[in-house]
Amino acid sequence: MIRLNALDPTAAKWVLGAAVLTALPLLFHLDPLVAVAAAIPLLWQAVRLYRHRSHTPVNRILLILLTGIAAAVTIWRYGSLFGRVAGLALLAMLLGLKLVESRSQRDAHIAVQLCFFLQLGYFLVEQNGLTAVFAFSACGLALAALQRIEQPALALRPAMRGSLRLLLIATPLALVLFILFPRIERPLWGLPADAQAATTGLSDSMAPGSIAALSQSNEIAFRADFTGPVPDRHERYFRGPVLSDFDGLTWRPSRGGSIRLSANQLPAPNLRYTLTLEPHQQQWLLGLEHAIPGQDQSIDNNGVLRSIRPINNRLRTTIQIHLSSGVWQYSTPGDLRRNLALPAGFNPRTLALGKQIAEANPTPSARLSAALDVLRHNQFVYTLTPPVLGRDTADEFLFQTRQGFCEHFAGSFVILMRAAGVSAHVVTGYQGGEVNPIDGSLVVRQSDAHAWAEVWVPEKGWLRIDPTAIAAPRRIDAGITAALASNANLPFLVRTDSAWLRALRDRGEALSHAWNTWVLGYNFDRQRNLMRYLGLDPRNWQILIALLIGFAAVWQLAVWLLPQWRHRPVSATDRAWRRLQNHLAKRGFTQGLSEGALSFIERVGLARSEWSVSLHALAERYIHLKYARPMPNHAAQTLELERAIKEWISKN
Amino acid sequence: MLRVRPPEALPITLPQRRVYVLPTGVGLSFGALLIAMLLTSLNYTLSLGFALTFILVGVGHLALLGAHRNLLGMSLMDGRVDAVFSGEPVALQLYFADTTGRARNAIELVPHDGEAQRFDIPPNGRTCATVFLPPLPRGRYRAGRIKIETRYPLGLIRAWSYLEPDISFWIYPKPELHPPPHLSVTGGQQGRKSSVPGSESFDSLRPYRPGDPLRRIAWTRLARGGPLVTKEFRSEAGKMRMLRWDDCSGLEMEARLSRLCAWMLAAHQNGEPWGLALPGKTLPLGEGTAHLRKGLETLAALGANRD
Repeated sequence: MIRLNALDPTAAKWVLGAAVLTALPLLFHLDPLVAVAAAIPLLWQAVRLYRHRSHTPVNRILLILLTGIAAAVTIWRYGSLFGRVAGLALLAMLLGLKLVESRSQRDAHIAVQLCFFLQLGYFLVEQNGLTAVFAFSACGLALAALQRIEQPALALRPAMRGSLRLLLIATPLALVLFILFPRIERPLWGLPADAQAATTGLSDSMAPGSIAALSQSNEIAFRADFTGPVPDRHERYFRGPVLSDFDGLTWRPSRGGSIRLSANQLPAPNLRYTLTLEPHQQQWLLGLEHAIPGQDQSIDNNGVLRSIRPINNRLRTTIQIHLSSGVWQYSTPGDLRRNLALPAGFNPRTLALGKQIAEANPTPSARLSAALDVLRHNQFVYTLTPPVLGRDTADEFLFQTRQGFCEHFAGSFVILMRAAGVSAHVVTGYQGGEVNPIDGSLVVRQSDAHAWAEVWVPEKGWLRIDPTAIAAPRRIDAGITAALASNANLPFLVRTDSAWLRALRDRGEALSHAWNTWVLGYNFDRQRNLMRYLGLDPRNWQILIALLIGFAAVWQLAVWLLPQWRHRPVSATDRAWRRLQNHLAKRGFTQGLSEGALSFIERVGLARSEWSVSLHALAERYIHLKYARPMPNHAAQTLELERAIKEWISKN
Repeated sequence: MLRVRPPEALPITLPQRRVYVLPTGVGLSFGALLIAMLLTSLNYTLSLGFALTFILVGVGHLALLGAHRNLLGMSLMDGRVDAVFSGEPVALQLYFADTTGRARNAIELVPHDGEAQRFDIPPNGRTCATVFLPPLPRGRYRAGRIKIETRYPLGLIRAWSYLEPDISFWIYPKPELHPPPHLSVTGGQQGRKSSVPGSESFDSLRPYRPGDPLRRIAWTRLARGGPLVTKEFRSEAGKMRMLRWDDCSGLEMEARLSRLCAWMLAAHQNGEPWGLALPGKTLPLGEGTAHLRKGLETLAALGANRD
């Protein structure tokens, strides 16, 4: 049924409030111009409501013009209408325009539903406590507006109370569904275009932001099935391409000929695992350190393990590893020279710092520890959304912003080492991963993508240095969600040396770790882990469905029964009388709603004269107890009446 | 509800099986939205998205529950229609009550044929809702099937029920606007001077009987602290009109009834006793409101049995 009833202005105001609360976090996230374009319709609607003009039809041409401008600005700034952020921006604009042209209740319903979807959409960009607060406040206000549409007499406060009640009552069901609704292992469909480029996997170069974009994807990169125990988390560095050439902006693999090594130059393998690699259209495989090439595999003197064919389909292959405390040392002097090169005219401050380190420390290992000290003592912050860096990325990162992602750490560190005269290169790959409790295989996702450094120390070889681990140890110990707990928005807390503030920060980090792990990071693996912990078979998702239905039924029963139980405060006297009523109803006598107890009994007495006297006495006692002033022995008398009624029922 | 149900005796309390629920148009689109939100959350493993979606699933279910409970257990206590003349709007007054201690919000009363009316019932309270039915021709009618529906609280779910209360009412014939005066007056005292109505020159007082015209109550007596008495005019008591079917010959049936109705009302207004002689039906001389009602009902029912 389509109802085109007019929307009352108060409800329209509430819908606008909900829309503003929904769009606000998004507006701050958008490109300023797009944000302004998205805010204009909201402001317009606010003005219309303020001037009591919400019922006058808007100028169609103006509306179409605004829509066009909104789309044009979005395309201009984001290059597309359908990317993640661009799509959200467009949706926010459409929401505003819908509000401006809504005059019927149906329009308001559509706007509210758009709000709900936009709240969800924003979670694609950011999922933190603040976003959640905004989303759920907006949700409450939107529900209040819906109530107001149905009941125009409703004021804001009772309406909000009603919304809060709805949300609170729905929470237990939501909690159960959240835990038990079966999660899926891989996406149902491909991710949108702007996610695509990065999420297909590691590329063979490292431009600013490339790994940060990758880390937002939960797609599986590969699995590794170890014959023995899975190595420790901080040993799980899966090496991908090695990047030696730097042009000031992007790191690329060395253009100089790398030398292919043959297996008999290398030690015998002592660890094997089966790699199941998702297609990434490149040749490199992901080996732990010191891989030995097997069939159809090759390795070069940088230790990059390759497949002889590009990996266009899912590949299952055995990787052999020589696990030892030794380091890789198959590099030529030419390699080492190339690994010292830096583009001219970039990062002057970093070069100066490197020179300073080189002058103070004669040996490469001393220079290395001096550079590590720089990382350690400058309170770097690990964040997925670092400030945008300009031309001299290493300078800005090391000396100004000090906020970055693994690629900033690795890139800047290598530049610093090269400036100090120590050969170094960037290694990209994956770090960590999670053990799947069902089959014990290690699942590594795109979000585990990582970049680190390798530094050449003469007589030793290539040493793996992970600058990120120095600044944000949790990234390595507990994965990326934990590392992000170090809140980039609070540099004051991060940089302070006060003990209690640090304790506060630690507590906050623990809390946010729990939030990251159990709320945001609750995925397929965690759900199956939980099932296993509860003693259920993790493979059997039907159990989840059965539990889900069971809990949902309990919830439904509770919401059906609780209000009835609460809203019927029946006195003992009435209970006793009701017992008699029920009994008489079975004999065909029902007391009418407007019929008093006495007249009812008289009516019964006319039909069944043998009951007349006894029932009359009971009715008198009931009326006395119910309506006369309570006597001290009221309770005793009530009990007596109850007993008398029971006795009467048993006799008749 | 397609089954024809006999009219029900009042009061009617709505039991579970008589309240129906279905999603409204926006309710269906809300359902589609929930599915879209769930798929998005699944695809992108959006934990907060799942939370929001599942909360809204719960809210949707509560909307269904709320709409159902809004009607469940409410009672139609009583209903009436004040008899009106044909051509006037018919006001159906229905008294709804809550006896369960829950407030009933935004209930719409949709008559079989007429405009919907919206009402609320406070907890344990009662409310009178009036719906106006379109004008009807004369006769005796039943209130017919009434639909009550609600979309409260969220407008996503519509709950409704049908009531067929045993309420019947009369529509009297439309009185003629400017009828010619009724001339034939029975009883010989036609030549006597009649007193001006409302003057103090009444002939006797008798105790008030319900139905006496207000303007014949001896208000001055009452004001002085006396009992409620009615003035009787001998001059009027002598005037007796017998309204006959043949008095308005040459007219169509409905026009005749209209004229008889108008004369009847005029006689009642003037406090004259009157009687009615219709083909096959005679009403003896009499006066008072009850008599008038009987007369009007006779006119309204005339010929109805023959149809």
